[in-house]
Amino acid sequence: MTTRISGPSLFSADGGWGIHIGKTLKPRVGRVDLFYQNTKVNGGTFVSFNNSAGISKFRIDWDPSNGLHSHPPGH
Amino acid sequence: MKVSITLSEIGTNIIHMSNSIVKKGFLFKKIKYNKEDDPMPRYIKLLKHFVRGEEMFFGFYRTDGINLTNEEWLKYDKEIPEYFQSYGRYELLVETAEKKGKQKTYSGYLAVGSLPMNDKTYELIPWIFHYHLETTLFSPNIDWETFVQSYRDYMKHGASDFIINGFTDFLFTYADSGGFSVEFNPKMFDKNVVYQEIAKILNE
Repeated sequence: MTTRISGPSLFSADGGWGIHIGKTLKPRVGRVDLFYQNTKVNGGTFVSFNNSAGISKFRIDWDPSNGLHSHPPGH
Repeated sequence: MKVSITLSEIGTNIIHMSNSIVKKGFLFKKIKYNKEDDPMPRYIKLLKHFVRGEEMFFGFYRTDGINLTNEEWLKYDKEIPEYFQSYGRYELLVETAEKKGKQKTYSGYLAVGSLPMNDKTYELIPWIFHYHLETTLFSPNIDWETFVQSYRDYMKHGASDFIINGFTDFLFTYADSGGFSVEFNPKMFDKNVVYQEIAKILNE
């Protein structure tokens, strides 16, 4: 049984896994990741900028609770 | 701390909490983890209060690290899998899906694990949360194989499915670089009682 409330179809690139541009030390993290789903918050990420180690450094997300928002580095 | 309680559209109760600093921007809000008033110790207190059973199952989706330094990232990139492998179970999941008539492999997005809940595990949990983009954890009513099989369908399932499908009665989720949620079966737990218990722990 599937009961998930779908987020915007924008976050369905490559089946929800998103698009990667460039490479980092992590195999599935690009220097830029685009349009992937975050199902636990019923939302998704428009864009995540990552460093060469694969750490997210700046992200723009959408979810029903927070709406459109960004995450600047937290340390 | 901002705490909201909602009844999800599919009949589970969700209590969401966040201590992030929210600033309005021109196009969108800026949400930053509040390191000055770190909510993580209170999230761990909540876990200790509500966790039942000796073992927890963990589901992970993607890595994050936006609240970690490079040194912390490198340290826990190594230590988290090692800890799971030493004291519980850990599997990186590899998925295949058909795309334009071809089988495509997806690896490195999903991982599952299990751990005994003890002081050492609770010490590591904040770093587990910061390291992953989404962490789901619960005391299981199901066996390991059923959980792994279900988690492979990550894109098809929301957190509520864990409750509705009877995997657990009480689910914890850490996501969005600072948001902590508990979700539970409203037929088994009174939302007002749970809310009051959470409020009490958060304000201790």
